[in-house]
Amino acid sequence: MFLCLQIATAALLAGTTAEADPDWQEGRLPAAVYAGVPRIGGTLVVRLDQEPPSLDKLTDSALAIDWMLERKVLESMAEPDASKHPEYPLKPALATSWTISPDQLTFTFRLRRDVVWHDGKPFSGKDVLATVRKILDPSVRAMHLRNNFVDLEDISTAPGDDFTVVARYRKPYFLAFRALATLSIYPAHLLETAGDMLHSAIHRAPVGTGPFRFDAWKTGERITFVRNDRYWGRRAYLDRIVYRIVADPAVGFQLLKQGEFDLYLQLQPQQWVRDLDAAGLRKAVRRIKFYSPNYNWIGWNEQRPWFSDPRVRQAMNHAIDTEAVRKSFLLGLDRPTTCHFYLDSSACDRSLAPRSYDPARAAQLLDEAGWRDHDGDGVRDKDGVPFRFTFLMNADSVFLDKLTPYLQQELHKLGVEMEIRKVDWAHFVQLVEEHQFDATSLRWGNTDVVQDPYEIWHSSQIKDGSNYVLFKDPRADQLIEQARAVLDDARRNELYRKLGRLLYDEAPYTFLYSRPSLDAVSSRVRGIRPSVVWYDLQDVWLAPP
Amino acid sequence: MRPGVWKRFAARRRNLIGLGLSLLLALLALFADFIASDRPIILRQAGTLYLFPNLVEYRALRGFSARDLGRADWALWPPLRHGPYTIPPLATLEGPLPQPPSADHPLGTDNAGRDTLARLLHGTRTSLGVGCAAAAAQVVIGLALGVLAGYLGGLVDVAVTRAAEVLLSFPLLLLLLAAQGILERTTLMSTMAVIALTRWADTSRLVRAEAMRVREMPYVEASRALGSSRLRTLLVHVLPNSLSPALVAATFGVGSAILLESALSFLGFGAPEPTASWGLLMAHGFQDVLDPNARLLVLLPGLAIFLAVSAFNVIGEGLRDALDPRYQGAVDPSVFITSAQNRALSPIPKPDGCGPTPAA
Amino acid sequence: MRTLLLQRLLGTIPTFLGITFIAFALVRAAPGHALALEGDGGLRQGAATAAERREYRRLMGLDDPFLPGYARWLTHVVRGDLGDSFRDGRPVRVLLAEALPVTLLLSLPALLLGYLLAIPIGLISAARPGGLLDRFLSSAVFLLYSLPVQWVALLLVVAASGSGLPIQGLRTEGVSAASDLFAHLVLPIACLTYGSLAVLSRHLRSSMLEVMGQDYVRTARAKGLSETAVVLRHALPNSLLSMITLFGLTFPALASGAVIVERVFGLPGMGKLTFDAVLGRDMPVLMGAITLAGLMTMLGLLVSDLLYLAADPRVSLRGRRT
Repeated sequence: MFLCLQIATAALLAGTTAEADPDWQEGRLPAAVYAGVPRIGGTLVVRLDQEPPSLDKLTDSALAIDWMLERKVLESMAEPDASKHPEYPLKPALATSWTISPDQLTFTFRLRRDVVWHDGKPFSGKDVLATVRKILDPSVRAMHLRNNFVDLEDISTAPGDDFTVVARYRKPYFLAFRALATLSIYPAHLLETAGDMLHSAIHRAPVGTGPFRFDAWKTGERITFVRNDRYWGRRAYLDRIVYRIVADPAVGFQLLKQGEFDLYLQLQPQQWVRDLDAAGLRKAVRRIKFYSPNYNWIGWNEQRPWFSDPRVRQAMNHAIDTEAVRKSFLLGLDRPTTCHFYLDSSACDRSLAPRSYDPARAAQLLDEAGWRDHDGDGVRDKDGVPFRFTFLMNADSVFLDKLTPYLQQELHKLGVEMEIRKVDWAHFVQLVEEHQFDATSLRWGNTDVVQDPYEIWHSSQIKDGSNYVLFKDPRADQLIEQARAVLDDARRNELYRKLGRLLYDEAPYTFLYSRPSLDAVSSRVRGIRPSVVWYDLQDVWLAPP
Repeated sequence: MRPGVWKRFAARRRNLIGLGLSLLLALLALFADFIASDRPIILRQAGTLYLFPNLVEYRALRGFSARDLGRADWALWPPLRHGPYTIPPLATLEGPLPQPPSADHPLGTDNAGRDTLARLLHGTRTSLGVGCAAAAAQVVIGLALGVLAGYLGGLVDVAVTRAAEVLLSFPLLLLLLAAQGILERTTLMSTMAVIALTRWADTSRLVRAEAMRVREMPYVEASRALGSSRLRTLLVHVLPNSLSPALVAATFGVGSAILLESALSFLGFGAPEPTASWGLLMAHGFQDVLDPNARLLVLLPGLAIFLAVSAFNVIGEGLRDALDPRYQGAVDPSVFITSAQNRALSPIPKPDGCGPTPAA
Repeated sequence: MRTLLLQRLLGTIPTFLGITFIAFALVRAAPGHALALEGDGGLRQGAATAAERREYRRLMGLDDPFLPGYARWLTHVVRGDLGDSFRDGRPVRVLLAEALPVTLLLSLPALLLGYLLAIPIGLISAARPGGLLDRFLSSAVFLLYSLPVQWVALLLVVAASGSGLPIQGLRTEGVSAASDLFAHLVLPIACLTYGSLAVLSRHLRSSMLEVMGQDYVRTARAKGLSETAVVLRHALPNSLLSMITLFGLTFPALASGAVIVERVFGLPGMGKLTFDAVLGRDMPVLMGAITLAGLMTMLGLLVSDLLYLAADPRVSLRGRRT
């Protein structure tokens, strides 16, 4: 009894203080973070949960590589303006200005002349050309970047001017300019001898032009960057950035409690919601909650007998109480979504609400689609095929560990039997890619707000792309193709809203949630700003203790 | 089995405690459905009498809920009215998961809202089942190969010995992955089969030594001289005598397999949902180890594993002592060399690098 | 003796070939993409197409036929080249050279500590078998042995937080003192040691008892030697020899690392290297780790054979080929 009382009062206290501090509650950074005169010096220690395979953007697409390198170590001709959420227009970086020809096929960039590489060599348009050529080299495993340049006809520097880059494309494509402009540029003099990149020094020790330069990588422990004092722009405030690799979340949190980190990435939901407060860290750290473009989904393989009918897929959707799942299993942090695109962008039609939890409606839809219990064994069937399928999940998903038994139980009540198959990540990706699943769940993530749905939803992408659920709809194909040539954002997003409506009705995916990044930053850290392109650490400084 | 074994075994209180504990766990495993289930043991509903709905899936009872009981209906419930798989309607849940202990959930819930006590009880079945199945399989393989190697000697012996050496060098995870590729679906049992396939070497070495000893025994030679066939000698004399070391190895094997299952679950290679096993329960608890409500989820399965493994290890040790009466002073010189080898070569395996077994 | 040794050495070659061949087959048969990608249920749009992964397989030589692939790997290994990691392109030799010292830093002290603790325990137990102390100690080591290591490790982490004892990595940023390294090793070594106590102390106890029952010990006793003298002069040396035999068998474990302990305490040793290589299907690294484990197993068996021979000349090598 006494214990209960204690818990109740504790909850009460927590409740009142939480209300008093909406910034803490919402995971926003207060205005105080951006006030004051920046101070030079200090080391920022960042927690990283996974060690990247390399520090090479050309060969590896791990997110952490982008985080550590983009705009900090490597720079591009233009970069997304992180302060302008959610449009993220481009602003000049290594290029001072650019022009796009009226036919949208020729881009001309004028580059800065005062830039030097971290090793002291001067920067010029030759570096841009060398980087693009490296990506197009078939012996380099740069497929993830190569896709952006399939329609590139020619790229060169202007005659007699190494600081003007001219790129010509075969056909207009809305992503072509952005892809080239934000491409991280590598030094030509080091690319020459880099071969396939894998055996070159810059694979793990990148040389760039950015405000920080690579210092050291102690495998399994930490990666260190130091300030580039010869930076062409405003120099960074921090002396050093140390990324410490701590995989285990419980251990990481203990270290956070001991004050070992200034920026802690990827807190677990319950750590973010409850443990920070419980550990008395409310003074020492600030919470950050930010939604980057990502969403998770359950995909129904349309070539399996059970899921070929959109009514069945809709029924599956009605069988899940997504709102209750969000509250119970995800602590209410994730944002529900029904849209393929970034939730905050105008490509999403916000009038499309998530389907309600309605088992009766689900049963009715299944009946309509012909899935009834004909043989009286308690399991629905159609044409002699019982509704008994397997849900494929990857072994390290905490969320699916809870969602799948829940789904299994809900479907059992509807007369649908579901089994769960669990495989490790590498195997999972292979099975999904080869369409060897009945139903599965995955999350799509992106580091830019502008994106092309072609790879995921166009019917041509079943074989080589990422159309895993075998979605095939001529209307969708047409919308996607049409949108590719539309360079005006507003008009293109209108097409995408139409596509969104179509996907909502066909329900190839059950769209679930957009997951927030849950980070914590020490209260001595100033000038930090979350964005879809992660944090711009060159603006960050440390308040005196 | 040699006479007096039970007497020597029972002379130690520790052995009896271990035996009692393991029997208790076995009973819990067998009757888990009668202790914790969301279906009644006997149910009378709408004029029909259902026997053991907790064991048998009645079609009419699909989607059954206690609220469906009418006035004339009655039911005999197990003491705990929660099954290990039942997730309560999510919309009715109050407060975050996992939930702390309450009148309804004596040990709280796990992070999907399932009753912890029910999962622990049913986990006994999984963990003991896994332990016994793996141990049995590894002993059967080890016994067969060990007896053949020890008795036939020569090329067979070399081949078996080499195979054992090869297996010693393999990361268990690699074998599990290969099994994943070959089998359409990995279950707890297939995982255990892989474990057994890699673990027979310990048993086979024990048994081989015993078989080599028996081979030289006067009575075996006598029976051979009398014209009995090789196979017959093998079955009648060698095999029964090899059983005691195999029994000891099996007992240790149970504990070892239970530990291994929990370690695999921790690394994400455990059984798929919704299986209730101690290892999985603990692995889920680890996901939010800092949550006071989740502490029970970590502590209790850990304790359960500890108790079960202790029980089997104590029995194993007791059996070993009881089967090997030399400590009482009766030294049989012919036993000496081989049994010294036995023990030098078969330290108890330990799943994670602590013992001389390649780590998972 | 020399011929026997040679014979034994030659005998390890087929075993080694067997290990690597089966390993190669398994690695090839294991399903899954060798392309390590962002885990935790997420894929990056535009960076994960099927075509891309096919391209990767081709570049990494994973589409080559099996037997020539193995032959090529073997010829490279004979020349001392274990290949390069798929994941980060570094030579496997370098990766092993980085990870092995970390693992040895854990496993050697753990083994040493295990022996240091187990010998007195075994001695005390054997002094009065069945006595109160014997029963207490043997129960205690058995209970320790029955604790799941991941459980102990995480409870230690939770318990140690706030005590100032480091719980992660090998050293503190910017500190190079030996005491700092030592402090980092305390918890992992504790985790690695407690379980081996049972094996080692029980082994010593039983071999002590065996020796104590021998004729020459009885003779010594009959000659009026004190019990302490009997134990120290006769029983202990003989039993220790058999402990040394056991030592050879722990060789592979010394180098293969402990996955769970390394994972919980964030130590970049062989266990972590192997585990990551399995998850990322990093074939050259995996083959390298297995090759190393195979060599250590061979070496261990050889050493334990030789020690056994030295310890007990009555056993001929021919009679015991395990």
